[in-house]
Amino acid sequence: MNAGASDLLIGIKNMSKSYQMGEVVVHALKDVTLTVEPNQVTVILGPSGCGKTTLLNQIGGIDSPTTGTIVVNGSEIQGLSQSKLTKYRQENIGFVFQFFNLIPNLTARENIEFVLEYVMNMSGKEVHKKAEELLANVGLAGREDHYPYQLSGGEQQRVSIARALSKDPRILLADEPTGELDYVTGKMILELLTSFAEGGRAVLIVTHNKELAKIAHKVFYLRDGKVVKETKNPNPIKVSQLEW
Amino acid sequence: MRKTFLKKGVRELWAHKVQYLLLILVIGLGVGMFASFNNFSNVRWESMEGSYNKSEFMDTQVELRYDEYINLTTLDAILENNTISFMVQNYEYRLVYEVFINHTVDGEVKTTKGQVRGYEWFDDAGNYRDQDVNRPLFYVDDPDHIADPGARECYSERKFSQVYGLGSGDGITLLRDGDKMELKIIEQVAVPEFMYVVLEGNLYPMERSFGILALPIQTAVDLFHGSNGSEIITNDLVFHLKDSDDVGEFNARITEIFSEKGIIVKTTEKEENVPRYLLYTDHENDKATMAMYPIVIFSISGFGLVMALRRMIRNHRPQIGIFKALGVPNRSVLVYFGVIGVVIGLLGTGAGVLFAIPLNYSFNYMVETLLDFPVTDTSSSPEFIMIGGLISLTLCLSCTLIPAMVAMRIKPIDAIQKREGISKKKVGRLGVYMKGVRWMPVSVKLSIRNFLRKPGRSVSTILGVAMSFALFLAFMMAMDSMYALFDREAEGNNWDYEIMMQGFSPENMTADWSVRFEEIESINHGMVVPIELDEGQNPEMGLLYALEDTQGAFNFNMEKGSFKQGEILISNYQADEMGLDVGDQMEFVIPTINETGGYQRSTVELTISGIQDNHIGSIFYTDLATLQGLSNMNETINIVYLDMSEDGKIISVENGLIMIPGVSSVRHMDDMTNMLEDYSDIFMTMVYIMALISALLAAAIIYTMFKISAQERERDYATMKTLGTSIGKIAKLLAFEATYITVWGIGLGVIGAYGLANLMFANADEFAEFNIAIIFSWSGFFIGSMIIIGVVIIVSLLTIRYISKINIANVIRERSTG
Repeated sequence: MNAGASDLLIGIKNMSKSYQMGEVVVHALKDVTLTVEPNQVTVILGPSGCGKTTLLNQIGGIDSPTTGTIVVNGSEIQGLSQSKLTKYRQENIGFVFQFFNLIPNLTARENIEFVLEYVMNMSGKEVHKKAEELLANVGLAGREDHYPYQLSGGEQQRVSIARALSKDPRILLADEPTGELDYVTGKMILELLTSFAEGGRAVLIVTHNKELAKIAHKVFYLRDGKVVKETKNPNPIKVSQLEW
Repeated sequence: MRKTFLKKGVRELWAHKVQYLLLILVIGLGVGMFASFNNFSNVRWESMEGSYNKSEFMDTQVELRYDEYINLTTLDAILENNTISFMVQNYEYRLVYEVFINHTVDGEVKTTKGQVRGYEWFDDAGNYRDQDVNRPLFYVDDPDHIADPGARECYSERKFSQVYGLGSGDGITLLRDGDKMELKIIEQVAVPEFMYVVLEGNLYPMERSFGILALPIQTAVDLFHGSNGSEIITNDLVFHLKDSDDVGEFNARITEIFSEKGIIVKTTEKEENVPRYLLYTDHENDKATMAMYPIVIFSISGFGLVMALRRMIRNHRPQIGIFKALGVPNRSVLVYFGVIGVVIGLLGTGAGVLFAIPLNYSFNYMVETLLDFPVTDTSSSPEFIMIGGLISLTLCLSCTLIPAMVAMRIKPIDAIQKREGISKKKVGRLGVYMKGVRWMPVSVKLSIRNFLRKPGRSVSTILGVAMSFALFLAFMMAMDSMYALFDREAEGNNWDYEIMMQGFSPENMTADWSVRFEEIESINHGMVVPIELDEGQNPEMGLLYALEDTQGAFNFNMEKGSFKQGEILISNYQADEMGLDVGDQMEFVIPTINETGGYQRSTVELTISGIQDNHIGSIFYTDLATLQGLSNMNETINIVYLDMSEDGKIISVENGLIMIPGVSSVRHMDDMTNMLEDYSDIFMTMVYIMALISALLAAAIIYTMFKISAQERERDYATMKTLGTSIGKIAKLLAFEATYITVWGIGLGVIGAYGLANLMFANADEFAEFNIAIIFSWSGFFIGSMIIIGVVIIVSLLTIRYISKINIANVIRERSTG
């Protein structure tokens, strides 16, 4: 284990990821180095196919890099066993997906209760109460007993965020969180996401939407698997001021 | 483009090889069972027909009454009668009478009842000849022949010889009316009238207590008269007619010709021969019952195939959409599915050949061991494999049609634009009701909803499991029910020895038995007579037992009323058949003695005192005094039951009893129960086969369904893993679902097993009169449940392995950008 700087939440150094596709080796990520600080919104920006989601998957511990190191919260995660990676995701990571990935057979509340009960090992009334609180926080009070198919895209994404937050993770990873949403709903979701970046927590958003760079404290530009540019923005604009 | 689809079909098979392999095995099992069951029926039929044909089995048999004989001069005169002579093709005359056989069993001399059958085995010139009608059959190709017309040699009936370990070269002693004759056994044979040793009035084969010996007629006559070179006499004739259709007329005429000479004869047509009738009926009934198994297995495999291909469509939906958008014609899509159908059908047929080999072996073992025909043709018939293969191919191609039609209807735009992660699926009515349920853990809710998400598939999976379970349990229940029948036979009888008389004897014949045999504790005299319940075209036949102490010898399981002196107890089978009830008068025909001392048949009447549900429906009970009164046979008996002071068989008593003049047979209760041991090996072989079939069926159906289900929910599982759900927790979810399927499958399987077991017995006319209660087999239930649970656990572990190997990143990334 290699402890990083005390104010560093994620530190990636010289990370590469390659896939063998038939006889061809695809280099999805090449020598990526980046850092994510707490209380900040970080955006990975790039066109489709540039490796953004692959990068997110490495940080989220659902894929492992070919070379390089990923230090999260002071601990290296590459090379961890599957069970340790599961624990890592349990304790550190909240995922928000472009296509929401709610469990279709569970209601909005149950999607959250599932995580509380099954991942956080909570039980009883505490589970119901916490789930309702989380849904209320994302503006879904009164929609708790709706199945995903009964909710709009924005509502599904809000459930997805509430579900991610239910574990109280230190890092929230969002993969094109507004990709499937209209402008107004997209902004609402961004509000929710950016509000998470406080109290030592961080939000990492990958997107191809350049406008989203304006709400980030730090932006990494990714092209063909490489970080080609890094910009810092000590005073990002508020989501309400954002337009695209 | 069609070649591309051909390749895709093959790739699909390879990609899901375990799933398709199981389906192939199930189809193979169907083909194998179809082929081996039919082959078994064929082997059995050919062996029976072969044996009867080789024996030149008679068209009719003419037997003289007990203790009546004619010489050959009289016989010639009768057969030369021009009203019958032109009808006769061939005939044989025999001398048949009963003897005692002394032989050594475990160092102790055992006296057994037997029957001598003297044949004209040598022509006038003293040359050995085969019989023209009802030829005894050998079990070896080149048998040793009897040396000369009066040789002290014999052939012994195969089963009797096997029971007592008698073989070629062994010596036996025949006893008759104080005369003895030492005979050497030359070979074992089957006597055509007793291809299967069943005597009238007996439920089971009687080889243990009934030895049939075939020997030269001169030897038989020498023992009969107690002196050598006596005149040949006969009391038993068998005929082949020029036209078998004339048998009725021939019997009537020959009966009349004998009658004119003051001789009463009994005629028995070929079809009336009891062992032959039982063998053929049994064969027909088994054939009908066995046909069910391949049907069920083919159904399961067809269903599994449709499900697997529908899963394939779901997986390949976008690709099919793209191909269709590119203008690929529907026939190419058909090729895709057709390839899979043909390959599975062909491989299934191949697997069928492999399955048919051990199955044929087991069935042939049954034919050889249980039935033991002299002519046993166990060669396999390839046409059944070919027919089974054609069924399998037709089934596979038909089953590919349904998914192919679905694939052909796919609209390219729908298929291409599908977004995997966005929920569109509805959850069903029950899911709606359940959404407000708070008390239930989410994990339980989720597994229930997963189960209800595809109700058709869930129900089908359960039905598949139920069918697999039912097949095994029904078989076990049928076996247990038969065992229970045997047990009830033993329980229903409360005696140690049953002594049958030759005809009717005076009651006082037993007066000194207790003195001669100190082991006898009590003697219960009785009569058993055949009765007819209706004098119409098809009278119901039965046996009426009447004892001094009827309830002392038989334990009745009363359904209604009670046993009363002077009245009659009937079975619930007869009560249903004849529409009778307690208190009704029952008319029936019994043999009686008329004023001149001759037998006649008279209609008598008794009040029904009760209805019992003992094992055999055609048996009736009254008390001895009542039957003696009705039949005018006071102080007469033809059966005796003994209670002994010692348990088990007492050979010395048996030897003594069988030698008493007038005693026909001596049977110990153990003789009835011991016979079951002979069946245990066959039974266990069948249990193993059925267990294998059941496990394979369950594995195929459960694996197919679990795999499809896991693939469909791949994204859900990937999401759960991403959220930090451990594989153990996911396994717990699967365990819930597996439990529902197992519990429901086994529950419905029990119901199905009752249905199948009933069907097995309902198909069998020979069981109609037996009160066969379908017994629930707890051992079958536990073994079957273990098989199903074992399969579910293995399949669940495989599914867990599959889920643990899901590449989360790939699944989650699907349809995502970046």
